[in-house]
Amino acid sequence: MDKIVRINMSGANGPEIKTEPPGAYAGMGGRAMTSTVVAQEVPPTCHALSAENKLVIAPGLLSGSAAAMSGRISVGCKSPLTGGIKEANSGGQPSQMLARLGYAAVILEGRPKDDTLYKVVVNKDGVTVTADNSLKMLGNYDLVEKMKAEFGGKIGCISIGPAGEMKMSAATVAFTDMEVLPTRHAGRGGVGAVMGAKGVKVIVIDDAGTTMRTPKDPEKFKAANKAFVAGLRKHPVTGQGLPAFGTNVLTNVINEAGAYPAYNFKEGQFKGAAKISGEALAELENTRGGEGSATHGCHRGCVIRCSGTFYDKNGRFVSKQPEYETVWAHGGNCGIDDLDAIARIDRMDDDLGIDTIELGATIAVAMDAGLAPFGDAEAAIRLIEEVRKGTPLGRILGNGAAVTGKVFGVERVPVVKGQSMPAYDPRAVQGMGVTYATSPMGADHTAGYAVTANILGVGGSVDPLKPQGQVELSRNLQIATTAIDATGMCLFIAFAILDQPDTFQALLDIINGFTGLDMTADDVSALGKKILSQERTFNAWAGLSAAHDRLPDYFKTEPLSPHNVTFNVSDEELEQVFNF
Amino acid sequence: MQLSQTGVARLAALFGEGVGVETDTGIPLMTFLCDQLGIDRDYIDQRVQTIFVNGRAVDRVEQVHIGSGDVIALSAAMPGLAGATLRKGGLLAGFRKDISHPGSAAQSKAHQKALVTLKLFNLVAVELAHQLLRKGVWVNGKRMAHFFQQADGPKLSDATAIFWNGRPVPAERMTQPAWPDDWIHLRVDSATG
Repeated sequence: MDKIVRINMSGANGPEIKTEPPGAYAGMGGRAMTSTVVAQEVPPTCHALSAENKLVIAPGLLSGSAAAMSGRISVGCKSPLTGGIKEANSGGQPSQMLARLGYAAVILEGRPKDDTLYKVVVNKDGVTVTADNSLKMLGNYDLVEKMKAEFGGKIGCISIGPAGEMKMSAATVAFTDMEVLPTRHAGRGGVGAVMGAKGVKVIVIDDAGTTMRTPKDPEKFKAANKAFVAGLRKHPVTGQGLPAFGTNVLTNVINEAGAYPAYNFKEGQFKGAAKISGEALAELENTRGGEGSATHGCHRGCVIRCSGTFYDKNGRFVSKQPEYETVWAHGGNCGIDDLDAIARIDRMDDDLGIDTIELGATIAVAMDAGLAPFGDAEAAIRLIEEVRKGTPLGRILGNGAAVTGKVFGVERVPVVKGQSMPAYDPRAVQGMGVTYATSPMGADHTAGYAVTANILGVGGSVDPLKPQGQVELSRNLQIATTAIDATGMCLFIAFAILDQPDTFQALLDIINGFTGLDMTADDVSALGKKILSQERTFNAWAGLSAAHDRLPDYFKTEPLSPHNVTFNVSDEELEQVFNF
Repeated sequence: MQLSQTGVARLAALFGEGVGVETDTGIPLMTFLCDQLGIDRDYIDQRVQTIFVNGRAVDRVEQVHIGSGDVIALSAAMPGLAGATLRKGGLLAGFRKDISHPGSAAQSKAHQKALVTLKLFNLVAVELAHQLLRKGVWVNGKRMAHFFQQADGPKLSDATAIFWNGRPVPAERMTQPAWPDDWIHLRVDSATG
């Protein structure tokens, strides 16, 4: 990846394209690239939808190579939802395609002088930008079909739906999968609204005529990749549990723990959990059958294959297999226990281009406000249709749980820095609450994943049964996760790394074999710390202080059933998380 | 009930909401799992990575004893930070200390017969369902009726033989009213087993 393309949408005569060497950003990928560019080039106090903000789209460091699981792509900007820096990442094909075309980043800058909508085409001959107002308010599915008709069936698309065009704070950026369907999303923080503000509807990528990126040390890389794949395949989570049941395998377990937020975080268990569990979903998909039903990858080179395809009872494609977070957000959190309804909503969200977590949490807040009864799937669907139409109510909902709670006078709004919490109640799993509170990204379940201090050697060894330790663990997890986000590796590799040190070594060897570097675990943690530090600095300049690194008060005062627990990590402890 | 191998596998879903199992109170959890249910100890150590007793995550299995009415749940290793957090004795156990099982001493009124609820999730359900169904479990009759009525669920008509209190019954006679709203003892074998 030897170049960056900047598209300035403010050009006097239309968009201006400038392709340049990476310069100071050389060697960066994924979150390292997006957060560094945003921290260096975006004024922290700017309005997120202004010309001063930039949208940075960056393939992971290893994307476009033969490295397994390396197809993640990062999207960064100042977030309209949190007011701080944002990195959201996604699977799908475009990461590999952009990387093979040599682009380390696509940076959208400025803002068009009118409401003209543009499409960007990236191929081996370069980059073109064309006005195309025929794309206005198309859903992601119709948009991609139109692009396939124009450019052929082997393209990849990075796009926004109507939510992005309406600049809603919950809008996503969509990425097409192996079947060229817009099912993968950089979901969190309203990155789609920033793309909408730039006037770009879609980036079409055609990597015809390119080849796989070649490693600096092919033999070392090949051997390490083989060991890495073997490690993933032999691990019970990555080799068996995820392929068989998908991420929704968590529903029964989190519910059993009393950590499953139900009815807008009022209860810790949902009595309909078994009906929407991963086991029930896999059973349904296997019974209905169809191509890629219960086990499917989201991009080429994925060996875990935690996804799937959801068909209705008549065998018609509805959506990709809904993820655990989606099933929770639109299911248990809204009191809904109907998998067909949840899959239909997932499809609506993907087409609209809106974050399933944020919208699910928002609908639950709206249900608490009396706009619809808990458990009423059709009422939830009607609310999403309001968002799609852009009615005044829909505009409120599309801007997330915090805005909706404020408008309708709801106190119980589960957000941090304006971003809704995902599917784990922080009163039951308090360490998760530490990460929700302190992550620069707002409440985010992927901010600190399961690669621990004990593996990376950061902050010393942790006694697993010590009653304290949430702060140290959260710190170390956030550092490690940040570094993985820079590689373009799927975070699900974390489980194999957690349990199998040789698999972690294989990952290091892949990076070193590919780049010719000699990175150690310490270097990986140093990279994570560096990225986190610049994200925190950006947020501080943007006006986010220690007071924003907190959970809403009601988590400290409202006991969660069935264990009747409250969040009891002190503010002083939370302020220690980033002492490194 | 006699079912095909596939049919038995589909009954694994029964364990997600829990089935009743007779046991003695006060005995160690491992004795219940290994000696009474017949689960291999290595399987508990290696495959079963998460155990809940009454919704509380267990770290030291040997320190837990069975009480009347307990709900015991077993799961294989789970993804995600939360999944890793809930593992028994895992590196991240400190993350959920408020819902960890504190351990329970052997009770003074030990060895009284009691019914406990056993839940099996994910791969554990798939792998242990047949063995436990062959031994027999307690299930509410109405729940069984509902289970067989699901549009995409297993069908009673798939059974090669059904016996009710020892007498053969045609599947078509097992309509909803035939199932009592009370515990029934269900034993299932595969057609080839």
